[in-house]
Amino acid sequence: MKDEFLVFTMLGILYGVRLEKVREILTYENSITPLPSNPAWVLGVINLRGEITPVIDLRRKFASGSCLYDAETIVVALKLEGDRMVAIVVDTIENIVQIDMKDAQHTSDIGSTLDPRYLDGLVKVGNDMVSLLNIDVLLGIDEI
Amino acid sequence: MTEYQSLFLGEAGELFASGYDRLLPAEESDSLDAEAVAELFRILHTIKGSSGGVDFNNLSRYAHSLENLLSYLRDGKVGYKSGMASFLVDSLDSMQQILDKESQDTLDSADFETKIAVMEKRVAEFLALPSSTPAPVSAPKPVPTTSNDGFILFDPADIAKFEAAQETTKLDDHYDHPVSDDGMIDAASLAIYEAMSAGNETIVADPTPIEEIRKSTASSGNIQMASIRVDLDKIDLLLNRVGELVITNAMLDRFAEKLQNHHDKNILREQLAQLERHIRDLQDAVMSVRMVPMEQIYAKLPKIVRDLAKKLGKQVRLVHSGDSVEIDKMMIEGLNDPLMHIIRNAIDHGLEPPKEREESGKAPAGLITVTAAQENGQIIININDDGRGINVERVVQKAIENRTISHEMAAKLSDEEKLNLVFNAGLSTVGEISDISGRGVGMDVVRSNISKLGGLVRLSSTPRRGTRISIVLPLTLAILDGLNVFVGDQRYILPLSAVVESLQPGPKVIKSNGDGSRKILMLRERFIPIIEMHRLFAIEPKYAQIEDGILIVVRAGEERFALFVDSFGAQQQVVVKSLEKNFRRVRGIGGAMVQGDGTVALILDPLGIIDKEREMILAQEAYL
Repeated sequence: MKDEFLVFTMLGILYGVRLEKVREILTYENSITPLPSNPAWVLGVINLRGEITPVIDLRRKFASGSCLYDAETIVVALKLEGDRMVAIVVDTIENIVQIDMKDAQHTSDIGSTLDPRYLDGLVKVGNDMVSLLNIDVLLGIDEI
Repeated sequence: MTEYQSLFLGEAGELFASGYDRLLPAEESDSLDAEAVAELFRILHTIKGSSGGVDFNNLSRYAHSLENLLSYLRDGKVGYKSGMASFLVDSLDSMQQILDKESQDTLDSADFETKIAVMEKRVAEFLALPSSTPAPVSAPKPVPTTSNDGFILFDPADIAKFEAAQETTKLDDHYDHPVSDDGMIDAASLAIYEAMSAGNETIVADPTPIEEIRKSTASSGNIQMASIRVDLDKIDLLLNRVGELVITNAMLDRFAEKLQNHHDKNILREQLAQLERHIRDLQDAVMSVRMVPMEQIYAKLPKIVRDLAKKLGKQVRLVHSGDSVEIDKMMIEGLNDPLMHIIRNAIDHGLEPPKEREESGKAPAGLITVTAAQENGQIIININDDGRGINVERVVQKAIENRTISHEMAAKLSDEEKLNLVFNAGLSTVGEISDISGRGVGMDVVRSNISKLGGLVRLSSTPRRGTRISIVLPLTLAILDGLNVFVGDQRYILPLSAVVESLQPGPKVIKSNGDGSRKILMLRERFIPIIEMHRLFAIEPKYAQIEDGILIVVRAGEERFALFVDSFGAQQQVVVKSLEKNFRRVRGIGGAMVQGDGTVALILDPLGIIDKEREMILAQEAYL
């Protein structure tokens, strides 16, 4: 059984999310309404099909340093457990790949800088490593 | 639990409620009339059938056994015996417990067998007793069906007819048929009346030409013939879609504005205006579906009052009015707990024991009146008791003991302010703690719950005469009247109900003390703290000096503050959306709305803003 993943980059690093979780892909517009007193990676909220949807910049959560917001920046809307809609900001969309989860390697707590709970595993695609994100944990209420 | 089982839970809640409705007055008078018997039989019969259908077999068995007693009563085979109504109340209690456990799969079968054996033994005893009065049989009255779960019954036309039928039978119990306002028998309402009252094929009183209708409706055993149950989520979805229409309409209008050709432009804008009116009508129609009568809340009260009065050895008479006043279903969920708490308080602390009442020249039974009315786009609910009133001095004393206020402060308070101390956390005037109320976590929770609904609580009390608590609520949670305020490049919506006034302050009215980092507005005789919105929300403002911007005096609970913003704009009606659906609660923010250009504006929550300001001050002090 192979699962489909959407592969994208953030700060030049490849990440993947299950395609079935992806609801919409939008270009970044400077129309995000900021929310008071939230961590910097919560950019604010947008209106997505009538729903007030938070926009999370994982680049800011994963790494410090400056992030680029321009006409090429992309927003991916994801549907999480419990029907929650959350959008994330990414740099580029790469492609859609078929991955057999048996090939995904579990991460050790050393080496990977991300909390192992955030990952479903690491897979090799071509000559690259793709980190598969467990968005239900990563974007869970307690995390954002 | 299966979907059908959870549907049944909702239905059972209604059935139990109408059962108690019948039984509580019967318990008081220790008698049961034929109508009540027929109705109770129908209720038990429905519970038996429906619970069996969704595999709650124990409940079904219990209901079946109990139904026997009622069928004997109904057929006049036994007469009413003293204590029967009370026994039936207890049996309904048992049934609710059984259902609770059975639905959670925690029903202990030995325990259940004991329960059913005890009940069956008492039924046998009742049946063995010699008959005292024959049980007359006549046509039953229609009974309101209310829903206390997440569903709404609708089809307003049919409900209206049903209500009309119900009203007239209330007015004159001699009528066997519903009579419309002009005194004519209306065939349609008659049909509905019959369908509503004859939930069971065996309760058919007199054959009429509408036999056909009765057969087709009665045989299904469903008591909500003319209405359907709709999941609240579906209604919200509808409302969302309407909201989308409003936005699309605004976008089209903006586009039309840009057209060069004046002729086309005028025609298009005219038609768009018409479209907007249709959308508004649609919005109103969808909103009306969310509205349910107060009856739904009232349905639970008699049982609570009865249980509590029994426990505390008090006599209570409960009167309610405004049953048909409509209120947002969402509001009901939030209103329930505070209302129950207020009523518990009234019985526990307000009403005196019968002896004490008689000594002070009052009727032995205390009176609790609950009224609901709609006025000026608000719902006003009053809860009155004729008990001993609130002992203001004791409240003050307690507040001083708790260090809520100092002696000096207490001396300066007006009577009203003293009374309002009751709303502070941790205050209870009862010496010992009872398990009903008096834990001191009472009125403060009531107030914050009501405030979450965008409402206010007011309190007034006269010693020895009683207490009145008024709850003022907006008509709906889904739409609010808001004032646009601007800070930097952001637009916020301030609920109009909280706005007292706005002013462009001169330098002379801005005061401060200490290091001057915080400001106070001197407005006529009052000093009002200023909250600087841009600091609180960390936004770059257009004006940093208060004199350059606008101050809006805002009411939040019992407090007032002046919100410093750059400017304010028009008033408008906004469709409120929750932040919590996809995100979480954000302090100071009550919700969000989608603007005409598709972007989001945040709706401010005055109480939250005060909390946030306090938190910020605390953080600053900790830092120093």
